[in-house]
Amino acid sequence: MRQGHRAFQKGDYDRAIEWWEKAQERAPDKMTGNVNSALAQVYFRRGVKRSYGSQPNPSGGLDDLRKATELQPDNACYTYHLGLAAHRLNDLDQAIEMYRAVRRDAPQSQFATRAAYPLALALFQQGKDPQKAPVWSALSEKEQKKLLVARAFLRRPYRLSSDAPLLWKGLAALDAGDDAAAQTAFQASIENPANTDELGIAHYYMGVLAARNEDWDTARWQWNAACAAGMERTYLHHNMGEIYHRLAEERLEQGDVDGALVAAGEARRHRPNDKSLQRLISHIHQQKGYDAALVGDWERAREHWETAEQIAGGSFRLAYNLALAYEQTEEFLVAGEKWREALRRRPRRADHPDAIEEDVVAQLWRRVAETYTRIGEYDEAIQVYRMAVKWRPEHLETRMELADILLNNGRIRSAENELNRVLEQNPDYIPALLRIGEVIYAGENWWYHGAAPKYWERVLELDADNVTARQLLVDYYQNEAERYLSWGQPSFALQQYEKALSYQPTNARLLAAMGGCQIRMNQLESAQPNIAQALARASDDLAVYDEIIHAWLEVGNTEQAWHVLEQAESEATVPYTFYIQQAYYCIGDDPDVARPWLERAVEKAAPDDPVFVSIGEMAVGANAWEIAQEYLERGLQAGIALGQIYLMLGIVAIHLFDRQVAERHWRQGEKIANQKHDQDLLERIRMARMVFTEPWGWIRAILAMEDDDDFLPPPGFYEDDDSDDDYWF
Amino acid sequence: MTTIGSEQRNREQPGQRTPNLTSSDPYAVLGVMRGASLREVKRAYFDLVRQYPPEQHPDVFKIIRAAYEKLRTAEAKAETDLFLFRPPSSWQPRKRRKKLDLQIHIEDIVVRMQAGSDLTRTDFKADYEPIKL
Repeated sequence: MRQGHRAFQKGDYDRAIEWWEKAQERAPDKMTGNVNSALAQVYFRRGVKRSYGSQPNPSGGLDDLRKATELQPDNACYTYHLGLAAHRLNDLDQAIEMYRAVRRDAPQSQFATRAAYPLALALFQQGKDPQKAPVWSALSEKEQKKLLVARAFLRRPYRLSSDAPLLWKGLAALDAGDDAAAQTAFQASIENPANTDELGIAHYYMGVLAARNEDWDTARWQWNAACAAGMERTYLHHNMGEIYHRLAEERLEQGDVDGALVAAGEARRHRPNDKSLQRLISHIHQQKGYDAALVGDWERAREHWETAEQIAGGSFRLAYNLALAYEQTEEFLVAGEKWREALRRRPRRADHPDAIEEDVVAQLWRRVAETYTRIGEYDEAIQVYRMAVKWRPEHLETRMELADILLNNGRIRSAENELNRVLEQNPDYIPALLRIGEVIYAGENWWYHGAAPKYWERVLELDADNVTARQLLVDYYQNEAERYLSWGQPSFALQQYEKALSYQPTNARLLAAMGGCQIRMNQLESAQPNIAQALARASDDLAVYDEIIHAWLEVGNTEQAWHVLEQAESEATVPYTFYIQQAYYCIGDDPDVARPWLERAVEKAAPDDPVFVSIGEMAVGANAWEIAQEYLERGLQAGIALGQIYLMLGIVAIHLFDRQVAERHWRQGEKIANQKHDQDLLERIRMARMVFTEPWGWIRAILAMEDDDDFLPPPGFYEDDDSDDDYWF
Repeated sequence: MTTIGSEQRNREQPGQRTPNLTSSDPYAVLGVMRGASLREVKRAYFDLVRQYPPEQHPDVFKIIRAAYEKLRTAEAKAETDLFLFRPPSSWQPRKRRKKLDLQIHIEDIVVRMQAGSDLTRTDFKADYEPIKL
C-alpha cells in the first residue's frame, strides 16, 4: 500500500494502480473503503491525464473514468467526467446519460451545475431543441442565447439572427447555395478567426466550395490549410484521401509515375487502410520496379517490388519478379524462396493472364532447384528437383540434373536409380548412358565396375563420334591396365591397353604403354613396333618416353633407359623434374642406379630451380633417407629454398632417430620463414612437428590437413599421373 | 508482290533503331517490342549491326550480340521469355470513385458553442480530491 502511495504522490498513476490492485488481490479482507476510494481517485486522475494530457489516449482515458465510476458510483465528479469524456468522443448517448445522472443524483453539487450546458449542447447535437428540455432553466442567460442562435441549424433553411457568428453565416449561405456570400464569410473568418478551430473549419468549407465547383487544386489547397490549422475530422481525412487518390490516378494515366506516387502517398496519409489505394500504390511501385529493372538497376527494382508486396500483399507476378531480382543481386536463398512463393501463388484458372502450363511449372521448379544448387543447398535442391520431375516426368534433362545433384551429394545409389528410370523411359538416352557408367565405376562395389563399359559402348553404337564415351572407355581400360601393372601382371595389363587402343588407335601414350608391357614380358620384338609407332606419332611427348624408360628401368636395363632418354633430349625440352621422376622408379631397388638420374637433374636444373628440395621430397617419399639427406645438405650449400630444405632435413633426421637434429633444422626453417613472412612454410613445419614428434600427432595432422593440401608434395608427384593432359612436369 | 517489294525496300533502307543498350531486357536492347517474332528480332539485329558496325563500335556490338543470342532461336527465346521480368498487370482504375463529403456538419457549428465550456478545457486539477489511506 505504501509503495502505491509513494507512486501516487510522484504522479506515477500506473505504478500506484498496480501496487494497490496487487494489495487488494492479496489481502481483500484487510482493505478498507479508503483503499477503494484511493483507487477510484487514481483511476480518475489517470483518466483525465490520458484524455487531455500531452500524449492523449482518449479511449484509454474513457476506460479509466468508467473504472473510477464503477468503484465509486455515487461520486458526481467521476460521473460528470465520464460524461465529458464520452461527449468529446462523440458518444452523445452516454454523455447525456451521465450528465442526467449527475443532475439527478447530486443536484446540489457543482457538477450538476457544470453538467447543464454540456447536456443542452449534447441534446442540440442530437438535433433536439434544448429549449424544450428541463435542463434549459438551469442554463445561464449567456448560454441560452448561444443555443438560441444555434437553434437555427436544427431546421432548414437555416435562418440565422444577425448577431450569429460570421462562420455560421457562411455555413448557412453555403447550405442555401449562395456561394459568393459563403466565400465572403469564410474568407473573413480566415482573416480574423476566433480561434484555430474556426480557422480550420473556414478553410475546410472554402475547400468544400471549391470542390463543389470541381476546382480540385483549390480544394486540395484549402483542405491542406485546414489540416495545418489542426482540424481533425473523419470527413476531412476522407476528402483529402479521395482527392489525392484521384490525383494519383490522373497522374498515372498521364504516365507521370513519380507524380502519381507522391499523390498516392499523400492520400495514404489520410486513408491508410483503404484497399483500393493500397492496390494503386502497389501498382505504382511495381511499375517503378519494372522501370528500374529495364535499366538493370536490380537493387532499386527489388526495393520497389518489396514495397509493393508489403503494401498490398504478394502476387504471382511480384514473387516472380522478386525471385529474378534476388537472383540478379546474388541472394540465391531468398531467390529460391521467392520462386517457391511464385509457384504457390500461380493462378489456377486457365483463363487468368498469368496462368502457366504444367510444363512451365516444371521449368520453374527446375529453376528453383538450380538456384539452391548454386548455393550448395543440395537437400533443398534435390527436394525441388523431385517436384520438377513430378510435374514433367518425361523431361529427361531434369531427371539428369536430379541424378547429377544426387551424385554430387554422394547419394550414388539414388543417382543410379534415377538414371535407371531415365533409361527405362529412353534406353538410348546418351547422357544417361554416359553418366550411369561413371556412377557404376565410381561406386564402392569394385566387382561391379566391369559393368560400366557396356553403357559407354552402347553410346558408341548410337553415336560413333561420341568423344566422351570414347575417352571414358580409354580411361577405364587404362586404369585397369595400370592396376594389373601394379600387381606385376604385364600380360593382363597389355590386354587392357589393347582394348583402350581399340577406341583410340592413334594414342601414342597407349602404344608406348603397350610397348612397356611387352618389355616387362621380355617380348622385345613385339615391343619394338609399338614403341616406334608411339615415338613416330608423338616424338616430343615426354609421357611417351616416361612409359618406355619406366619399363626399361623396371626390368633393370639401365642402358636402354638412358638410350631412350637421349632420344627424348634430342626431341624435346626435358625439365629436371623428369629425371627425378625416373630416379623414383629405381631408387627403391638400388639407390646407385638412381644417382646418375639425380645428377642429371642437378646438371639440367637452372641455378634458381629448387632441384635439391625436389630430390629431397622424392627421396623422402621413397624412404631413401640417406639420399634425401645427402642432396638436401647439398641444397644447403646451394642456398636455394633453404626454409623448405630445413623442413625436409628435420623429417629426415626424425627418421634417422635424431630428434635433436630435427628440432635444430626446424628451428632454422622457422627462422627463415619468419624472416620471409612465409606463413605457409611455418604451417608446414608446425604440422611436421605434430606428425613426427607428438603422440597421436598424425591423427591431428590428418584432421588439420583436411583444409590444407599443401603440406606434402602435390598428388601424383611420386606416381604416374592418371591424366593424359596434366602430366606433372 | 507488294509485300516482297516493301520488304526489299526495308532491307535496302533499314530504319534507324533506338536500342536501349543499358537495359537488361534483350527486346529493349534490340529496340523491339516484347514478344516480337524471331523474324522481327533478326531484322532488328541486322539493322543494328549496320547502324553500329562491330569494327567501329565493338562494345555496342557485344551488347547487341548478347541480346540477340538470347532471342536468336525459338528455344532460346522461349527460355528468355519465361525468365524475363514482367511488367505490372495493366492498371484498372476503380469502377466507382468514393464520393466526396461536401455536406455541412453540425459538429463544426458546435465547436464554437463548446468554446469556454468544460468541453474544451484540459486542466481539471481543481477537481482532484486528496486521498486518505
